[in-house]
Amino acid sequence: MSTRADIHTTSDDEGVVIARISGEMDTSNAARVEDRLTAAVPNTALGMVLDLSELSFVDSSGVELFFRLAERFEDRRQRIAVALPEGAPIERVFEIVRFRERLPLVGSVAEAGALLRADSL
Amino acid sequence: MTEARELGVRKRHGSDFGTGEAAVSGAVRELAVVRVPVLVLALLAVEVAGDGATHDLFYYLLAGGGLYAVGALGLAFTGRGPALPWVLYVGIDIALLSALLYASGGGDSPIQPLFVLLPLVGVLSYSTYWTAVVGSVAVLDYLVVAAIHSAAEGGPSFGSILVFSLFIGLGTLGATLPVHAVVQRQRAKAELEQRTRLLAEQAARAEAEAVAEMVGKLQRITDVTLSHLSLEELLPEVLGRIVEVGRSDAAAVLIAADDLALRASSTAGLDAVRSGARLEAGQGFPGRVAQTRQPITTAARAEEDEISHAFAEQGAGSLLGVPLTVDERLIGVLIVGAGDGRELGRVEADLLRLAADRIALSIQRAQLYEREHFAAQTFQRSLLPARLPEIPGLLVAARYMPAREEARVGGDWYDVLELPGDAVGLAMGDVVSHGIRAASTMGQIRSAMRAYAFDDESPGGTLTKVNAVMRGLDQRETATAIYLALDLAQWTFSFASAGHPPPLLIDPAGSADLLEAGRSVPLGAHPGTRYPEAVERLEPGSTILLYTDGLVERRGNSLNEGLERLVSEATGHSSEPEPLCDRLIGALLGDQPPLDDVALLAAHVVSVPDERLELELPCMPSTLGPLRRSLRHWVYSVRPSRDELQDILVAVSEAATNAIEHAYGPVEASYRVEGWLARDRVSVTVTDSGSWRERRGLDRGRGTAVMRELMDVFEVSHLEAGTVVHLERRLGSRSAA
Repeated sequence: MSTRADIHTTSDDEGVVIARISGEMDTSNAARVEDRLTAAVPNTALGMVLDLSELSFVDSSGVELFFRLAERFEDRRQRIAVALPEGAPIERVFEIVRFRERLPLVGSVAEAGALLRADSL
Repeated sequence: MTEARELGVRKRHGSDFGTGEAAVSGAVRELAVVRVPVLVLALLAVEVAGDGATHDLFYYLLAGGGLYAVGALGLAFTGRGPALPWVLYVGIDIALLSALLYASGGGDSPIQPLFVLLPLVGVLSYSTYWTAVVGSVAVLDYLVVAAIHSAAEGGPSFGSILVFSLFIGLGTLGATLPVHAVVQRQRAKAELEQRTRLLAEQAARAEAEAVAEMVGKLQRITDVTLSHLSLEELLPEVLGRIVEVGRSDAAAVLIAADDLALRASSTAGLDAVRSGARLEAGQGFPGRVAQTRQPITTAARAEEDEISHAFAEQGAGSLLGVPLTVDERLIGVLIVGAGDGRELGRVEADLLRLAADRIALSIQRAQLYEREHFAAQTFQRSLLPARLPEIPGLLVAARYMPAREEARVGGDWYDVLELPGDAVGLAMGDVVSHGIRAASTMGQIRSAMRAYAFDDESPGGTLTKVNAVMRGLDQRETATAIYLALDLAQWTFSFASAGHPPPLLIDPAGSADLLEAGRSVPLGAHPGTRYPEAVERLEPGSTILLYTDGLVERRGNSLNEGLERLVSEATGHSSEPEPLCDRLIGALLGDQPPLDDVALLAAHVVSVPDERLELELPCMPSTLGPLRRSLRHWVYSVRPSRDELQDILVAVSEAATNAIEHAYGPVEASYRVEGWLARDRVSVTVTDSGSWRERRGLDRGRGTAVMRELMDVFEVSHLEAGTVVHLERRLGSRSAA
């Protein structure tokens, strides 16, 4: 049985898909999470907000997934913004891998959404 | 029908036989009472007269005939002789002959003409057989007598006697036959009438029996529909009875969906139908029955659908389909099949149709009931935690057993709350009522309790506020509830109970105690109640059990007996939560579902574990989750901060991921995780059997960077046997950072 991560997606009127991942992510479920996130975003969408506020564990294979996903989205001219509130358990891993240098990392889903919409203008 | 015919035949035989017997016994009586005395008298008369040319012959005949008659009678009466009537005729014949001879001895005897009347005896007996016998006897006798006379005395010539006797014989027969034709006709008519009457009686009786039987069968089929069975139990029972009492070998019920598609729901005597087989609206034989809403009979072989095929395969060639309707609404279709060349017809259709009305009603009732019950149950289940949180240092297990009476969806709930700091909340409650209303109340109380518990309320304060909130709820419900707040840093817990059964505390030594303190009235009983609370020590290795009264209440037993049993079952055994819950349910409830809902929540405080951790795990990604859980409990006893715990979990997970990814070859490889705990330090090594490689791809060195950053010591040793990653983290050193 692989590690459990639940993905809940919604999309707003302006074509931003919001995906909330809760649970844990490691190499046992990274591929599955990747598939589901890819499938959740249609070509017409502006981009995706990854809400990681409820993600209790992530290691480098999870981080890798987010970077891979961002690359693929860039090919489709879509962007990813990540929402991670301050003090979240996975914050330290993100710091170590310099997550912020690769992907926009903000404190809330609203900020992330605003970022995507602003970029599209 | 057949029976009636047979009965008629037997009856006629009986009556003929009886007539024959009566005739024979009558003849015997006559012979004994009349003929013998007459003969004796005649004999005496001849002796007295002592005259006549025929005397010698007469004596011989008389003596021979008398002996014969007596002997034959004797034999007949003792049952050893030939068939009586035949013997009798000969005896009578000889006696008659003797009498005639004597009587005609004097020439023209006045009794001679009387012989003509002899055949009348036969005619009057209404029997062709007797007429023929008596007639021929008379003719023969007359011939003999006439021959003797003509030879002895030169009377009338033999020829004239012959003509005369033939005339009498044929005349008799000629006169007899028409009479007999009439008699036969009359008799045949009477017989026919009697037979018709018998048949009518028989038919009436058969019909009455059939009606009674049908009512009985109907009763047998439908009385099961009166019981409150679930659809799953109801259908097989009904079908079993239909097959048993009807003249059928197999039966199936198909339930109609809203679009009139039919789904095989239950079958009896059919192996081939998979349950859930589906027929589109109007498809096949069942579809036709559904469309016409009329009973239809058919030959299974003539049908194309899967259901009919299944009947045919079981040798049930004749099919009868009856619609199941309630108020014009199609509920489903009932199909029965009969084999061995039997045809299902009107009688079966009538029976099934009557039964179908009742079956349809009960199916509808069961469907409605199941829908409602399912809704209540789903709602209630949604209010229970889908999974229990994983809390370092605490093993938690919960059970929920629904009541035997499925209609009574209960209002039991439990909850585990991860509170800020080292606090954990355990809650349980039991709403007094049942059904969807109880579930709704339970949901409201649960939410209120969560809210106040997170608001840093003490157990007493939490219950006091929940009770105050309940006053405002529309429904006048009461509920028992208990709330425990565990402090895993101080190893104590405080609790308050609103009329709930006392929690059970099992200490590390295995001795169990009910905690009676901290108890007050149920929620919703008095608006202004202030709930007191009690505090207990929570030693590592001990277990707390919360339960609802369904666990300890038993019909015929007092609550105290139940509690005593609970204490004795919980004493001296493993207090690991999972096996504890299983054992208590097995011991207190047995295999049967409980009378009332039962909820159980057990929390075990992990005792200070060994300083050493040793795990050998297969090289599969799925081991990562369980590895982190084991680490969490192991590390907990040295009280790492949340950050420290997270760092250790991430670093060990990275090392284990490397070990898993380095595993190669078809042989199932494994990796080892070993750990050492010191007061201020956690050390872990992860050993694999492969060679160390950086993971390729974008992350080049990212996992390594993570381990190096998070740990105080990060060393990789490449040994011949494999790669060893050594990780070490000092505790408390970074808390200020």
